[in-house]
Amino acid sequence: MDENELRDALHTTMTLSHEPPPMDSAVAVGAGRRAVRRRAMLASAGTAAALVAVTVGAVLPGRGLFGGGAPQNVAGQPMPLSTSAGAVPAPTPTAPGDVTKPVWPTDGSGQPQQDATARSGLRYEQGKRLLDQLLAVVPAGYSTPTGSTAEGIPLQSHQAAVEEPAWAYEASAAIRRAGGTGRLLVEVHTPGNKLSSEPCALARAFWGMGGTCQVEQVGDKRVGVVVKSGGDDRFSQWAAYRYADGTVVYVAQARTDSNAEQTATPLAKVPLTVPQLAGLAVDSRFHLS
Amino acid sequence: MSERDAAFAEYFAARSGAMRATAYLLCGDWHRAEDLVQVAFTKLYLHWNRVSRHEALDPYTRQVLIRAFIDEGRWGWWRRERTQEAPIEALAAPEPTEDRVLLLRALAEVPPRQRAVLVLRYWQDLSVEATAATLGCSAGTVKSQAARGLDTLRALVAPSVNAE
Repeated sequence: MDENELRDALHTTMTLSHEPPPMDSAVAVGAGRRAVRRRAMLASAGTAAALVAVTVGAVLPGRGLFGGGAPQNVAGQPMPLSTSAGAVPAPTPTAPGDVTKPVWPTDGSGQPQQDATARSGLRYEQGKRLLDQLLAVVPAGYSTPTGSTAEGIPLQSHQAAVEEPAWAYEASAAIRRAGGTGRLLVEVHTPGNKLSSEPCALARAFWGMGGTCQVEQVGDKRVGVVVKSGGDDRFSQWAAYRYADGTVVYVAQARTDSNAEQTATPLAKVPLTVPQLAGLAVDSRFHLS
Repeated sequence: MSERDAAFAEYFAARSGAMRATAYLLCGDWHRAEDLVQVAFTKLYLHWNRVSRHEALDPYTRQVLIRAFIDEGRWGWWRRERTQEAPIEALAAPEPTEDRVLLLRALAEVPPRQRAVLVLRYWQDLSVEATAATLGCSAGTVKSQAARGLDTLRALVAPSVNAE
């Protein structure tokens, strides 16, 4: 059997198969809604153990991001599908050629992670600290609400996820002022990532959002800043900087509290100017290892 | 129904059948195929607002589906929320054809990762690069896994054919 014969055989097999009736979209929507509620409930419960037990994605190893896994921490949102790296965390094979039994890095428990996301240990703590650092740079005059959005998305979150061979950290915090709620997010990719070295290519790669980019000079550093999104309204603006050691930092701001359909009243304007946004991208507090 | 739910439902109606067929070739069982599809789409629903670019929907959903399938071996078979209330056996017509069963049985003998490569490359007609991206491995690994998978299939199918 060669490639063409297998291709023909697969198509013949499916042609001869009698498929069951189409799956019900309404039931799928219901399952999705329940998953959202579970995530919200678990986030509010604040126990990683509960998350491990119930979250739908818990059995999945990939990113997702990014991709797969149960890519959120207790108070965390899932990592975006289209991460800047464009890469899904890949499990490490146990042995050459044995790619069917992936093994994740060891968690703080001494056991392998159940997926790409660290739920304890040094990486988890680093993600947690990233949120603290993000909260520390919120501009004066803004409060930092906690809790969840109308759709159950946590207003503050953090995550550490392996993106073989690098790690990606993400922290997000809602910010509120004069009845409006927006959001700041920082995402850090450790050395070993495959992101671009060119400032604007790097910036436009963020979550695959593209947009209109300009280069900002911050001291001797060149920072790519997308000042206008390319039709993707998840964030209003974001800055990207790649350190000489390969570490990449993204800082993003949005006028809304989440990417959900139902958001609180948005901020009247984004909280940071373009130079301020670029300055945060080179802030040493976000230069994680 | 919200705009998000309507868009999700529309995408589900359009693509769940194709995803289920892929899952069926991977696992050889309609129940399991539907569960894998449900896992993938539930995860998609959770990420819907971040996967708003529609060209990303298929790759993302396919990736979650494949990874859920591969991961079954590690985590055991978990019963998921079903989108089909009635038993599938009662709804699907009987379908015994020797060649079809032979191929499905042979596929079932191929290691999951190799099987995924074969299905992605020769059923979904994905390129080597797209297959590698879906599985989170290198193009070289895809090529070697495809070759090994074909070798395995050839060895499994040949004796039956020769015996006829």
